[in-house]
Amino acid sequence: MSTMTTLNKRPIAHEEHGLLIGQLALVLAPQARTLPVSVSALLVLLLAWRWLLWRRRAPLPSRILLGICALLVMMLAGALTWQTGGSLGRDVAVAMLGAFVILKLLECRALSDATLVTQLSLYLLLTLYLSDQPFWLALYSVAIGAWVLRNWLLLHHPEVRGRLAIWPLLGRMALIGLPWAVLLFVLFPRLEHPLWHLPQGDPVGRTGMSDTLRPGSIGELILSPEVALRADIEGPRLPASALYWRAFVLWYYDGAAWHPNEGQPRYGRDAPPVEAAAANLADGAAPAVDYSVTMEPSQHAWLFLLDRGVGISGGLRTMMSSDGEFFAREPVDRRVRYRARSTLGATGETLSPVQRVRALALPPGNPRSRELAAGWAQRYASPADRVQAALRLFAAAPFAYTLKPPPLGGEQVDSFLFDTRRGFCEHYATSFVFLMRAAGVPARVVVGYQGGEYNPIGNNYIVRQADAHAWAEVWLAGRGWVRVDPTAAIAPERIESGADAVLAGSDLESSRAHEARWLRELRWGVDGLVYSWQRWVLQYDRTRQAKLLQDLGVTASVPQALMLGLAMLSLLVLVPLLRRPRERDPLVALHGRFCRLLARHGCERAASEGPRDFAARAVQTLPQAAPAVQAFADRYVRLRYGTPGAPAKAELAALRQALRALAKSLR
Amino acid sequence: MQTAQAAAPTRRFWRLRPRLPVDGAVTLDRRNLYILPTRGGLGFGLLLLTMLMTSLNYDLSLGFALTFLLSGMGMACMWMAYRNMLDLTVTAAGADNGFAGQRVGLRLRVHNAETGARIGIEAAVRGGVDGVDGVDDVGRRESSLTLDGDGSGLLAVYLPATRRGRVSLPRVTLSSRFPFGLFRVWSYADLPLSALVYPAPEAAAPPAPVAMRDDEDGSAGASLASDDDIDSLRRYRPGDPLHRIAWKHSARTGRWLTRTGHTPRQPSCWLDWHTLPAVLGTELRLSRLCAWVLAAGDGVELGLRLPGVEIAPGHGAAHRRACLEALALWPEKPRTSGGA
Repeated sequence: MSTMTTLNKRPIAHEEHGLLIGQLALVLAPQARTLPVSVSALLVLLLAWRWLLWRRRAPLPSRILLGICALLVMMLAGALTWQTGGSLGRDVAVAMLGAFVILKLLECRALSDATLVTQLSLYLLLTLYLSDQPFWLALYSVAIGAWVLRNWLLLHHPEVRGRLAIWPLLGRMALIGLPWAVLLFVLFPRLEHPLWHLPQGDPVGRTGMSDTLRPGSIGELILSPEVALRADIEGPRLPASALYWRAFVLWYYDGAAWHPNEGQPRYGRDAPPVEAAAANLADGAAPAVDYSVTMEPSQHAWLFLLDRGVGISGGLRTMMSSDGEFFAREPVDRRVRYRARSTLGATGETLSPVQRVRALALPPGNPRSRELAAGWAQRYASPADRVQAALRLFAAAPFAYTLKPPPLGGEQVDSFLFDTRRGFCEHYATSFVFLMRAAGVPARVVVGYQGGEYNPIGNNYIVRQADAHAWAEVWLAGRGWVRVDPTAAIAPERIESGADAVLAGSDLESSRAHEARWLRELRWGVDGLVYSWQRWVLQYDRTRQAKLLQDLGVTASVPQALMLGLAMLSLLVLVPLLRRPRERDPLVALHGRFCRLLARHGCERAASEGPRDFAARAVQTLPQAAPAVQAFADRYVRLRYGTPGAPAKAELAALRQALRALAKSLR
Repeated sequence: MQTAQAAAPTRRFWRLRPRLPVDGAVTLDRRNLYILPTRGGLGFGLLLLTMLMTSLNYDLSLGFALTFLLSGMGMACMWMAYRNMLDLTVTAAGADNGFAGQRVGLRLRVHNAETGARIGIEAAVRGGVDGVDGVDDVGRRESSLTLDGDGSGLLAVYLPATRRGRVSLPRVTLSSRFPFGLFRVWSYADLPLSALVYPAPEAAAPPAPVAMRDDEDGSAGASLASDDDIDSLRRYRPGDPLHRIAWKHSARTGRWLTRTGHTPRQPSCWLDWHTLPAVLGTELRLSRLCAWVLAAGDGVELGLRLPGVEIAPGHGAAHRRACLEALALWPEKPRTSGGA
């Protein structure tokens, strides 16, 4: 249609350009938290160019210049992809889209261009969620999205300004749309596995543990208040000393650092689900604990289970190693939630000869420690006694627990045990396992988190990076792998109350130990909200969807339920249409039909014509229907003007009959 | 209710069934209101689909929320677009006649009986030329019409005036793309309205022949009588025309006085079809007559003589219109008898 094309070619006013620039800037701003600085700078540069042109009311750049810019952007994206080995695929894609939308804004001349920019702004809003989806971003999106919609409305209908309250209109539309949105959100089927995957590393460098352990590697984390995971534990509240979140086991010590089991495949069989785990538990084994964990992205594959995990369920594909470690098949690059079951104690395991050799292997060096361990091996026949001897050593001697240990010499273990004697959990775990192996007790290092702050408001445990910990496991015949925490011997309060309690006042400036009570409760409240947000909105997936339907007692599948719901909503929409007020007076309604019928046959009633005059004219224009017209008109006039009160039903029926007769005679 | 008369000769497509006015007004009720997504609407659908795929793939709960909220808004948009046009009434509101080669305007009055505002209503006709005009109650002019609650306004459609004669309004399509241009809601109105196309005035017409009437003397071209040549004066009576008031005498005497006696003569002439050169064709003759009628102005009294039609001498806008109408419709006779 001609009007449509002219409408789409309507030039954009100066203020409208300003709004477009503003909304694009606001949509792109939060991207800065994930994009590499160089890319952010490019976007800012392009946007600033557009803004300067706008400020000066300068003409838009030529198409050739824009083409060159587009080429440059693409080359830059290519270079960045090549330089990082493709690990930034997703970020680069998002940044390129952003750059092209800005370039589109630089050649935005007509309404159709502005509409495209507006719609793409909405898509850019969505890309903000790719890295993470905090609560504030949801609020931000609602605000910006509403503003974008308002500008869109004004673009298409500038005449609305001042004649219509736009915000209430948008509010009403949102209210009409909300049932659809909620229904679709709850019931739209989710995918189990992604359709495509753009590689995405973590350019920001998140704090977290790495898969090797060297002196100081955990101490780096102790200052980080970042949340590592949150857990809901069923049953009674557990003491902090029972909360060992086991991540992975380290076997191989090269004299400087602990490494994962080299040459040995880390991944084992598929992890058993929680339901199947009950059968695996030996009779009379330690009591099982059920819990669910919401884990923040770590960019590593390992999962954290309480002590000795026996089963795990959730949306993840998981594996379990022979060491009782749990892994996701892909690195955890988004927040995940899983349910798990653990036993607080040893599981019935065996130690193969190969494993025994590996659990006793030691690098050369550290002669004084070897000598000490050899002495224990001679004195104590039972391995358990040798463990106790080592713990006694740590508890009695002037060993100290500190965040800032002095540097160690070349012979790490000797240097720590006999010279510095000040260290952090990794020092104690390393020396302990070294001593045990030297004394002939199979031992290994375990890394994970220990403890966790109990939030009475959210009724969950918050485990932070600061709770990172290393401890040991020794093989005791008949009991299996037994957890031994040498740090507990030197600083029991670390285990009971967390690292904060130990280091309060001495090493840590911003200690939470001296926090005011109200502040702590406020923090708990906020954290509880964040946790609920993650649990009920962000973690809403296939499993929860199915569970919700089950809880509601719906037997239909998710797509069926969705179709049913949509059909019901569609019917609801029709209600206002069906219930539109009709002509209430049946007489007037019938006369209206009479007039329309005659109008179709070329005899139209003029506004000034009364029913009698009209009928008289109709009799002349349509002679073939003259008696029927006359009959209807007489009856109508008598009923409408001749008799007081509402006409009887029989009379109405007769009038209707007269109308039918008229229609017949006209046919 | 489809009658044989309407159905037999050309079975009309249901959608194109005539939308005749009842009591002169076409109501855009829900049985005659249509809605389809526009190209922009399809684009928005594509955008939503892309957003959905992204959310699905990356399992973005917030992404789903945003996508579905926007879909809900789209649904609401459909309803809002429909409500925006529902139950408007359209009546014919007159025509702007034009000359052949130019355009004629046909005006529709759109009335909104409800309390909510109606935004961006457009009218279009097949073969119409650009310049759709909306004028609301306040007199604001836009390319589309926006009505406040319980208000009405005028929409004009323009048709090219190709040939002299009567141009009747074809089926009008009334449409709106409110609120986001995602959906187009439209309906039809068949209103009995027509405009006249006058003959195109001849560009280089010779001056009008001043054929004096027999009873006319040489004073035909005299200027208007001044206050000084008074035939007689009498006291002003209510109803006396303003131009007969003797202003100077009234000012001098302090009483209202009216002049009586001779009215100043107007020059007058007959524009006669038969006196035109025989070489001219019908349309050329009409064109020349048209040019003369327009050139005459208000000061000249003129009559028009066409084969079968005669308009007595007169002057003024109404007279001129009558002449033009006769020229436009000839050989058909004009409805109004000529002469002022």
